[in-house]
Amino acid sequence: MPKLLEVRGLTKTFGGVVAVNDVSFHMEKGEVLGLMGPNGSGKTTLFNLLMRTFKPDSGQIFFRGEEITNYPTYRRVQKGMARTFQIPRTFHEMTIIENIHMSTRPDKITKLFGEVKFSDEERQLAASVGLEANIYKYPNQLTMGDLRRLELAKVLAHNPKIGLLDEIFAGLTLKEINEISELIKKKREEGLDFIIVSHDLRALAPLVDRVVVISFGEYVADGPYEEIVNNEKVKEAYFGC
Amino acid sequence: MVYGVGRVENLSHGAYAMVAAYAFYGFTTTLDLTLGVGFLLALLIGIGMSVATYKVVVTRFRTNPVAIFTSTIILALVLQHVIETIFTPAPRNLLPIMPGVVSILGNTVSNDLVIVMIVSWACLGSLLFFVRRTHLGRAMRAIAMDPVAAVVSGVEPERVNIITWIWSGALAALAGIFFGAYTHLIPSMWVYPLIMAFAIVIVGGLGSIEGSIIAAYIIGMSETALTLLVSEQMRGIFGMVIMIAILVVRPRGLLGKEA
Amino acid sequence: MKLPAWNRRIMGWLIFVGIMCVIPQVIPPGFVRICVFANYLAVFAMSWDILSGYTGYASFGHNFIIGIAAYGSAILSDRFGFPLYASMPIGIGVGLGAGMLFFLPGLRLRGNYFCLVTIALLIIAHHLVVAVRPDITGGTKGIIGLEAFVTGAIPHYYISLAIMAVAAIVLWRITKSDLGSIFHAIRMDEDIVSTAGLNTFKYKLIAFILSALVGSIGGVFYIHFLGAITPDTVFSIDFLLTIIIATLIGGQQSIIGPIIGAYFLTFLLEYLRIFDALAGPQRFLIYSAIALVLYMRKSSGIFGIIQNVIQLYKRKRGGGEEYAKIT
Repeated sequence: MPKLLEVRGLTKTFGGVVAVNDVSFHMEKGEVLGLMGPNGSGKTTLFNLLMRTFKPDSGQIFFRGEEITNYPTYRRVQKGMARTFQIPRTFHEMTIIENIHMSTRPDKITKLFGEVKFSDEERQLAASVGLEANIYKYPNQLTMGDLRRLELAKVLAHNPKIGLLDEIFAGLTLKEINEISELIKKKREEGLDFIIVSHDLRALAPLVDRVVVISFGEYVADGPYEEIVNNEKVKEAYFGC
Repeated sequence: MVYGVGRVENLSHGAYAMVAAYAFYGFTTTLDLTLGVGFLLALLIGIGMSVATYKVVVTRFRTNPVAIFTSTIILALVLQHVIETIFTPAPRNLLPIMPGVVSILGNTVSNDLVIVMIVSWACLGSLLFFVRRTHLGRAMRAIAMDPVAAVVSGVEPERVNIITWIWSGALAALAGIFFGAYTHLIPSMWVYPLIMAFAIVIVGGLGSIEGSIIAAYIIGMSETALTLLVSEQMRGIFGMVIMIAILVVRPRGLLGKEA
Repeated sequence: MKLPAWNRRIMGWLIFVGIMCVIPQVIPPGFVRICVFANYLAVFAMSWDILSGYTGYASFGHNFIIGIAAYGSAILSDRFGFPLYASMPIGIGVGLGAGMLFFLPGLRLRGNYFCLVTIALLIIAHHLVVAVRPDITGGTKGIIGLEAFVTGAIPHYYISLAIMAVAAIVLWRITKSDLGSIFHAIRMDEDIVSTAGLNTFKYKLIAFILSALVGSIGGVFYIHFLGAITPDTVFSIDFLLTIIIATLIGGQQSIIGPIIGAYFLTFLLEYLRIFDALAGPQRFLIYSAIALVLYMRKSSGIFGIIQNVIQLYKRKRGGGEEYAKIT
């Protein structure tokens, strides 16, 4: 049974800076993986490599047994990977429901000639992240918390095998964190898996099974959450002692 | 400078050259001012237009390069029509700045052409020195590379930008006057130098003045060869073809620092 | 489930076309010829808009494609004796083909690089058509005495109207569909369109083909209406900017705006011709200055102004936010 996601030896250099250095890890079906590390450790770069926003200098990526290293972004999404952005990126001249609508579009020209119609599914998606009151608003009218919900809604719209959530909890109130956390748990029961990047250990703890830790672009450790939190090398990476 | 170092595509740059050339013409013939005064005034006009464009257009469309491209090309057209209205579209000739010819290696070369060569080398040399060695030059390159880091390092972007544009306008005026002197004046004369300038900077590589010099010679020599071997009408083609090739294959250019 | 809004809009277009059909009967004959020019300019402006206005890949070489198609038909019919029903389709094919061959690689480029490549192609075309085989292309003087398929201003009017109307309705309908939304999305943030699982190259290609096809069709019909072709009429920066300015003045990214802009510009230039003092380059100065000012104020052109007025009116009457207008 092939692993859900397997990453081997990913390396990415920008100019003189090695952002990600020979990182390998894997993910099984049914897991929620936490991706942790101090600021600037390369977590977002890793996401960018997984989604082909950047081309790796070397390394391979396998998704459900298939090598996707050379697949362009849209093809990876069609295979079942979807991501959020740390700083939400939206279509600023479109309303929230239109933004969600773009994520439900099939990549088939013949299906795209129809009039633009918002389906019940899209309204439900908005409601599931708590945006039902805002669907006709524009992104610049929303709070950061709401924008993060929109990012999540766009990921859920794809019904992905893996949702890559980059700092999904940042800037949210405790109540909002709980709501999002419950939503992620519910989706998990429905069969979605996630890789979550977060600084917020308290938010992460109830959600993740395993954690991968990287620091300065290097792999540090991986394992179940409790082990990692007590791991000496991890503590050194975060606190320098 | 504005494009390679400042990353702004100002398509009316060539038009400043054209307007300055016509201004010089107007000052020295119709108004009968001395060459020196006419020259200085034309230079000021070039600077004025450049800074005005920066203040009005570039500040407005800071984050939208296509809007800058669009508005500056329309501005160039407006300037062309202004000149056509004042001076009529018929071609005119500037009197030579230094009449007479000189013999170099057995070929007769007009004095003006020699002066142009000397002046252009002087300009390029001082530009190189300026950008490489002076604090201001380094500041310009810093802003081009990373505006935020530059500000944090103590560079005042606004002041540096304005100085860049002043310099740029002055050079454009200078180039325009000389270009007009050894060819002739016609309101559409801004197109050819403009596209050549872009071709040279892109082929040479953004951010690299040495690259521009090399590219200028490659393109210039090839153009001359092509026009002699094939036909006069081929002028301008080689530069465009090689520019397209570079953009599609190696956008960094020959010696460019970043795409 | 049909939204009543759609029926209303199609009715709107049909009424528009109906009015346009009646126009030649009620206006002075001299005006009809001006309207033909306006119709063709509208076709060129709309075809520019569907690519440059919607996807944001601003082509500064649109008349490269128009010109190649036009020269194709002109050369085949005049120099090689092809009948029009053959030379025109071939011309369209050549225009589309040349566009695909030269412009497509540029669609990979972001921002201004595409603009630069397209304008470079235009300049190359301008020079090449003069330099290469002037015996066929007619060099700087071009080709005159092109065969026309009809004679008289009124028949030309109806043909140009038909082309413009069909192009307008087809392109407009596309912009109102999901395809149009994708074009718009590409303009706003191409990367997240990919992240939404869409192959952006495919959609840029479609927008480009629409642009090149409509432009080429307009080009071959236009040239046989004019009866003559020169490098300066088709490959000049002037013609390029006339098309772009018509779109910007009317309102880019709307399909309707370019039509308004084309008529506005054409009639403005004709109107200014009446004043002797403005007969020369002053007319062009006025229209280009208006365009610059309008663009600088970033108004979405005349159509944008009309839309703002309608919004204000709706808000006063208390209309709901129910139907979110997309583009």
